[in-house]
Amino acid sequence: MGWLDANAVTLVNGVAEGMLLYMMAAGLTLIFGLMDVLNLAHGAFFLFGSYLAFQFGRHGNNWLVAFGAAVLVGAVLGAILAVATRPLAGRGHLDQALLTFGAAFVLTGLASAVWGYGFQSVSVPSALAGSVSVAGHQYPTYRLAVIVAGLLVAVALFVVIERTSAGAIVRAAVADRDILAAMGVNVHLVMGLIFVVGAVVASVGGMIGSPILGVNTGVGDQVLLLALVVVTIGGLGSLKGALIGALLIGEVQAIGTALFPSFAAFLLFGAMAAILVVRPQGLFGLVHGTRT
Amino acid sequence: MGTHGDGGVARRQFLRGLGATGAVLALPSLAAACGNSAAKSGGRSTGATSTLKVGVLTPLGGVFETVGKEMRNGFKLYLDTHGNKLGGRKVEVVTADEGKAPADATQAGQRLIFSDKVDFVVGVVTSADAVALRDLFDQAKVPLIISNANVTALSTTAKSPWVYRTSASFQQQGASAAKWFYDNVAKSDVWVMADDFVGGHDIAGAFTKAFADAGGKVADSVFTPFQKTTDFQPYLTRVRNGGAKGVFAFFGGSEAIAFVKQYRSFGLFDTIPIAGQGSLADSAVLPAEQDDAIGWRGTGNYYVPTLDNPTNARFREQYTGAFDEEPSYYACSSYDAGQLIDLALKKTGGKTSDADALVDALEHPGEFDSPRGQMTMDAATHNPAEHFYVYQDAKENGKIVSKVIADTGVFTQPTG
Repeated sequence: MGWLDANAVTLVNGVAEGMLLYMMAAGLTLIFGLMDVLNLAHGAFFLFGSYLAFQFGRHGNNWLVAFGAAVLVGAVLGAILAVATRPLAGRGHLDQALLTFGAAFVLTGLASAVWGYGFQSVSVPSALAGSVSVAGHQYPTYRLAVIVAGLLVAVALFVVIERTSAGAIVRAAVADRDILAAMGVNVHLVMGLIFVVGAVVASVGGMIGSPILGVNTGVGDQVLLLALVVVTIGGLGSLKGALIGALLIGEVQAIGTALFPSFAAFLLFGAMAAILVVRPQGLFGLVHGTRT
Repeated sequence: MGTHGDGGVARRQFLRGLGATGAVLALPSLAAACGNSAAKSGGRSTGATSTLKVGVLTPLGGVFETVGKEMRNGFKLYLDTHGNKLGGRKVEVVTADEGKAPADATQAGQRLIFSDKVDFVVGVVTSADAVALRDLFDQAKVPLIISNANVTALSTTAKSPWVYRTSASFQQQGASAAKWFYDNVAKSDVWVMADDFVGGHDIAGAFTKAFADAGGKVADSVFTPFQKTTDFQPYLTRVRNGGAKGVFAFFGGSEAIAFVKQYRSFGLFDTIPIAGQGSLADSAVLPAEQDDAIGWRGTGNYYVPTLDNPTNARFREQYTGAFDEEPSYYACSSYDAGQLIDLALKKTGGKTSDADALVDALEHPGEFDSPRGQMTMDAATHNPAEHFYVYQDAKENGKIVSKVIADTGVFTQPTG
């Protein structure tokens, strides 16, 4: 009780951080699992989302516009990158890493040309300002809203992928895209759409995360690194894995920093190493073509 | 396509891709490290009547673009209000870019010294750049007047006859806050929170020592990853669970904004009294912090725009008239960098040819007429002997302003 009481806020905060990571990792894992593309420009989607929040939401009154802009810009950038990476689909991950990493540089440069290099900050929407009591301690209302938003995204993605016929096509494309193509489905279109959806989720994640993470040109890379860890832990191509992995990393970060500050960074990658030793394919990764 | 249906292979290729990413990341710094070229020394003008060349070395872009602009403005204002003359000599300004890393700054410094053949250089924002530039100016025997970079070592172990500072050292700032903190914030079970870099440790260490001298006791210190921390919740929870009765903090820029907001939204502002280095809630970050900064107390400031003295009244009016914004402490210290050269050259009769005389004049320039109030150069540390002030943020006419609430007296950097 004593420990739980003292660290309740930290635990809740780990969930909030995990949700932001999930929004980044969901697209990353889908794009990798489905298209076999290692998209290092995924952080740039997040980056643009956070700058759009700064652009439209900085006075706390235009969050709906910021949301619309994040969806639109995420979709456009996602479509462009989907087209750009298509010829590289069969060329190995080094080529993809170089192209998408270059794209990340270009997009980050673009953002700094528009918004400058400075560190910006975004205020939370006035409706979500203030704090509520969590286990007797004050906790910012906005972070609870982030948890709710993350859960909504997770549920929506789960229902679409697991419970609809469109989702069945996506799952079929992950399992065996050649057979799917032979059945008359336009696999390239499916892949392009998944790329766009992943980009939109990341961009919206960046917008939602901006009041917590701040806005600067480095925020995309910072989240990308953690999301890559999440995807590796959760298993490539698994949405469930991305969610569990993101929550795990969020908690390891929050608790680790609070209780063992000097070892926080080691704990993060230590957790990844430990999981990979036990399950080399990640928690929910594919083993010999079967979904777990 | 070989990765499909085999998670193990997919992961290996994925990780290999990550390795390639690391290699790509390492390239720019390598290129920058190879970019330095040797330059030849040559005679510079040393006469008492010819034009004086002053290099202004500040970032022209990047994260510190605004700081750089304020420093150039402050120096320019001194020239503009003194007939564009220092020590009776007409001044030609050579602007150079401090860049993004110490390698950029040293390259620009070499160019200023060896090809532009400047007589003085003023500026330098970051401590890392200042440390990197130190040997260059020490060996070339060209005076470098640092108007920001606060790294303490340049006043102590790495002191040079050719390197001076018109801002303040980190240790000076941290030590100046201690007695006031003891009298006004908390006496025991005080936690110190700062960035994990040389400046954070300097300020925290100096505060802790001076606080003990004042009779107080620091219970523990928390250092957060430098320029990487956006979420302070885990650290704030540690401080609260540790039973802190007061907090002394030092953060700047975006971290200051995040810290000030989160200290309030996690409910600590009303339960654990806090004060900290002025960069936490000064004019640079107030527009972003807004109402979250109300009531915040900032220590260790050698300049606050609202200081009440005749020189500052004049300085503020001239500065706002020329640049349409309030002067910052960066502007004040760069204004005084111009003044230091002016005072020193007046002592040497405008000459820079006699090295000993020039160093002596820079070490003993006499009283400054500074917007910050009383100020002299401390010859032992090449750092100002100056007052440090405490401000508190308040809302006036819908705008947040930092108001001076205490003068903690004159502090010099301790030697050694």
